[in-house]
Amino acid sequence: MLIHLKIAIRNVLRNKRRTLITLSAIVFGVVSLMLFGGYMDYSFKGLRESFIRGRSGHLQVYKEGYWENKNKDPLKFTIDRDDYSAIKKVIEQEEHIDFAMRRLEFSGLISNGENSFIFIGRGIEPAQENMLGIGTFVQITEGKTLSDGDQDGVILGKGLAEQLEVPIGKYLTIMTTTIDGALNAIDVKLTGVFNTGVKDYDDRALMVPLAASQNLLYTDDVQGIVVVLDKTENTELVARNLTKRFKDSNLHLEIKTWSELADYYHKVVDIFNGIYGFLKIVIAIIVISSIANTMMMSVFERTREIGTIRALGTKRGGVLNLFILEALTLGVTGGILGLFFGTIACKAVSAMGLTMPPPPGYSQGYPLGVNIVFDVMVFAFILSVVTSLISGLFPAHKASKLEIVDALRHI
Amino acid sequence: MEKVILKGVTKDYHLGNTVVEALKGVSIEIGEGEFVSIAGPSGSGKTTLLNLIGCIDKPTSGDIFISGQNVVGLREKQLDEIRARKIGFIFQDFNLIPVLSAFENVEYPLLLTKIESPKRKERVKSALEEVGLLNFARHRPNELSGGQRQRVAIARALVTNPEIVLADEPTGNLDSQTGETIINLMLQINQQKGTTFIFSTHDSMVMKHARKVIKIHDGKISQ
Repeated sequence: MLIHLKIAIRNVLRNKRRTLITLSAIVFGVVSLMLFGGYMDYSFKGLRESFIRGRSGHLQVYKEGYWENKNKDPLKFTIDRDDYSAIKKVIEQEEHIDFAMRRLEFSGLISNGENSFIFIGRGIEPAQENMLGIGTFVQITEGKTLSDGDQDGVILGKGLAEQLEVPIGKYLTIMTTTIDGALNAIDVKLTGVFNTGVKDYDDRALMVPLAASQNLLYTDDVQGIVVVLDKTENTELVARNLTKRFKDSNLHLEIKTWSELADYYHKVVDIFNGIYGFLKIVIAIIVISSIANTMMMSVFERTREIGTIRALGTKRGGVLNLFILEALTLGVTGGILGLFFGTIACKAVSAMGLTMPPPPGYSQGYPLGVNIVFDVMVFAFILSVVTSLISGLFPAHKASKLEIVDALRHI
Repeated sequence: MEKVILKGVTKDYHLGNTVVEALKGVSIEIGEGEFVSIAGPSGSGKTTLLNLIGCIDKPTSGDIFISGQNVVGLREKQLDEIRARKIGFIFQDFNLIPVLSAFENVEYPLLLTKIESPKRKERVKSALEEVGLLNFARHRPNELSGGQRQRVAIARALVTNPEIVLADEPTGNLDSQTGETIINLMLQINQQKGTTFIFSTHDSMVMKHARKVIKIHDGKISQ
């Protein structure tokens, strides 16, 4: 009945201090969820883009069988020029693809004339790699990155460059085995030093122009085509479409999405989600206790009033509704206020410009930001309402079970 | 037709291991339109008697007929209905809902029955007018004097046009002058509308105004 809603709302307004304290608990809960959920979203997106832009691209296309055998025989299942033309044709038909580029991976020794060090190398198409992330997500800390005209330039990872200790412009020798197993070496000129932020990688990595690497390995092939999309959100869609198109064109290729390659990312997501789940439970308990306590007090204080309205003819169900409505009023009001303050809090934290320490394995920190996530807001609001309902149930039930004469005799 | 008939009604209370016999076999008849006071000292059982007639409590044994219907053995929801439609209550402590205005307090019992809004508003207005408090319709109980609160309570009790109005010590919390005014008001309504009034009291002034007095002592009717 509408009158019960009126009574419920007015009773919530009646004891302002108690209501404020109860609402504070709910607001605190909602704001905490929004801050943590928003921080998680920001961190995940940052980590994800950093991985995509600094390493994998959105999708990688290989010859069928490459992935299974890549540790035993990385140069066996390769994509040749004909394959590449066919792939390019398919990719041109697909929406959401910004561009695609080739990569040739190899490893060997690099020498400055005095000392040699092991490296993991990559032959790249410089103009496209720059569009993906070199220069932005992958910082150039000395010199400059490769350009399309470069024949014999090399850029070294930060750790590797430190070990080799040569100035920009100096020549280095890189040595590896060709596709047929023979030893080969070329001289390359140090063009610049890069920093991906991942220490283990930067300690060993180097990049040369694709042509130079193909020269070195005596092949025209590559292992993988990296595909870059307009938006990360389109990854699964494009992966499905390309798989179908490759099948229809009778190309024996396999596709890996960035997600399938990002083991570290998923581990981070899982840990955070575990903590977030724990946080949700803690907050639910706090909010339930707070509202239940307030409701029990409310029922106790209004025992005689309950007896009166029952004497007037209100059914037990009516009394139950009255107190459930009061609990819901608290939950809904607290939820709305929480969303309001939560939005302000998220914006405020992002505006503070704080820096987080580097995550494990990374060499630099990142700016602290908190996103405003719609899903988190919806969840937090629903949690407020549901917990308020749960808290109200027991007190409302007790109220409805009161015997009229006993209730009327109450102080 | 007799409005209220009690036949051999007993009521026992269990306090821990002891049994208190509040009513020990009461039989009374109250006719329609009567203005009856149930008089007796504290603990005599008058409140218990009123509670049983008002269907907010159940007897241990015996029968109670309200307008010819035996209310003993009825289900709870049926008793809720009877109270909503046929009975009006006036309490010693007024028992108005603090967060509602005088108007809303008087309106409340009408919301338990299915009367539409414009008719409801009319009934509330005329009830308040009858007790002389139409100008105070928007006031909350804490903005009214004791006498005014009791008058609102009377309006609330009458707004559903009940067959019986039960009042438990209606003048108990009022000074003698205000108390007399209240009783006269109730008498007036009784004469104009023919509503049966039953109230319990140990106030001799009140007993004076009653046209019939039922004396109760130690759970039994005394003559």
